[in-house]
Amino acid sequence: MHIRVFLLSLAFCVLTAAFPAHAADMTARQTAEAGADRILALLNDPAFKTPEGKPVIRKKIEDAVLDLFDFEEFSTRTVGPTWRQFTPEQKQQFKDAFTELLRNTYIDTLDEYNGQKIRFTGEISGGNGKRVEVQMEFLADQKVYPVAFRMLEKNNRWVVYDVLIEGISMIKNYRDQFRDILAKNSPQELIDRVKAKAEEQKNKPKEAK
Amino acid sequence: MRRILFTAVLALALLCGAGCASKQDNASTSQEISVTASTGSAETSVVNEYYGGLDDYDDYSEEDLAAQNDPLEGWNRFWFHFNDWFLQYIVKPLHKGYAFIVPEPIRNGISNFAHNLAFPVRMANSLLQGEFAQAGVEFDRSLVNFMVSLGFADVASQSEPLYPYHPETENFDYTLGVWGVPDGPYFIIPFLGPSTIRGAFGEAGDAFMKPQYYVLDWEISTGSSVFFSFNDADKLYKPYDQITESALEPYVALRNAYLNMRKNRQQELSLTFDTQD
Repeated sequence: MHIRVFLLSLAFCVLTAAFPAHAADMTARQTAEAGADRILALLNDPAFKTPEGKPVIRKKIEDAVLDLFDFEEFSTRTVGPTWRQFTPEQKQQFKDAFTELLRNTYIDTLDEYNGQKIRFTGEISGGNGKRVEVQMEFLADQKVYPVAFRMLEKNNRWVVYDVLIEGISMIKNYRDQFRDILAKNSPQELIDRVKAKAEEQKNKPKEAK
Repeated sequence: MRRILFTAVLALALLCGAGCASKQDNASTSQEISVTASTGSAETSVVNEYYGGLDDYDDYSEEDLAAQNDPLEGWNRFWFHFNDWFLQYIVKPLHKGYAFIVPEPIRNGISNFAHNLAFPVRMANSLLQGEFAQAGVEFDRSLVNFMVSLGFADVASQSEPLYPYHPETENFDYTLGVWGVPDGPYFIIPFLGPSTIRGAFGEAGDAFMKPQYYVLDWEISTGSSVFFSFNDADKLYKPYDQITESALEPYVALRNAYLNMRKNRQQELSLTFDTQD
């Protein structure tokens, strides 16, 4: 009896460790590591290379990404101060469109994965401990690339709100573009353009390798 | 996600040149970032109020806006569109055909040869910066490469350097920086791509230091330079496509990526020098 309870609780712990419900107790770095490990495990799943297993794994990866990255933060931060001029509907529309854009831009690159590794190297906190930059190294083709997740605590758990690759902020890159567009156009115009770009990325023919 | 990062990382790394940013001095970098973080936190309350709940620690800084300063935007946008057209419709199709005929090892060999051939440029710049030991290292490396492989390989890179070697600094752009010339605004060089005013002078200076311009006819030396650049074109257009294809405003995306990369690289190089001294 005891053994069964023990095994059950063990199984429960192992299972729930993979889900965000317990993330409140985790530090930013633990959250980032857990998220990265989960995505890595999915990418390493042999089923990912098979035609029937691929869509399933892709979906799981997308869920893991949506869990680790906060697309609401991505949206507000890429728009910047002008976000206040967006109506609630526009905010939602923008968030959906921008999420779709990022998804369509990067989803195909998952297929190129072949065993690259990530090594966590450190963390720096800022903003009175409310922000943490988790630093890591991406090992590919015998080269090392510095990557960092900027994270903040939201609803009792840590989420990623920006990604830096070789010190270049993804959010900043989009924000500079959106600022340029919003300087001359309305929020609706920006939303429409993000939607159009997302669609364009989706229909983009895969380049022959 | 990992793959995403990898591709983006690769793109950026390639654009910034031959593996210029893969190594970092961790201690100095952390210091750098924590400095940013702490200045940012001081502003947080102000930012909070102004942006209606959107707090941040370094995302909307004044420096950020200053970096966007682009007084030559008219010129730059024109040449951005021209270069884009030139790359997509002339260089890319030609290079695809070329890459089909000439296998990658040979293209890499040509690339190494071009690099070794340009050693006097790097040596001269080291001398102009007062880096005499570095100039000596440059001479020795090239000598070894030419003796072993006629310059078609970089054998020198396979042995552990006795003296830190950083060829990224050996250009006239960096020399001007050492002399205290400011970077100046963003400037797109026709046919070549994004740079700054100082970067453009740097390119011109380097071109004047190439010995082939004084030995060979100008048609041949120019032709060889164009060919060497063309040989490496795929290293340029792949990251370029990565940056611009996903962008809503390709011009702004490229400017942002380029200026950031430039800033990071300069910071990194000065850090390397600090730790060395």
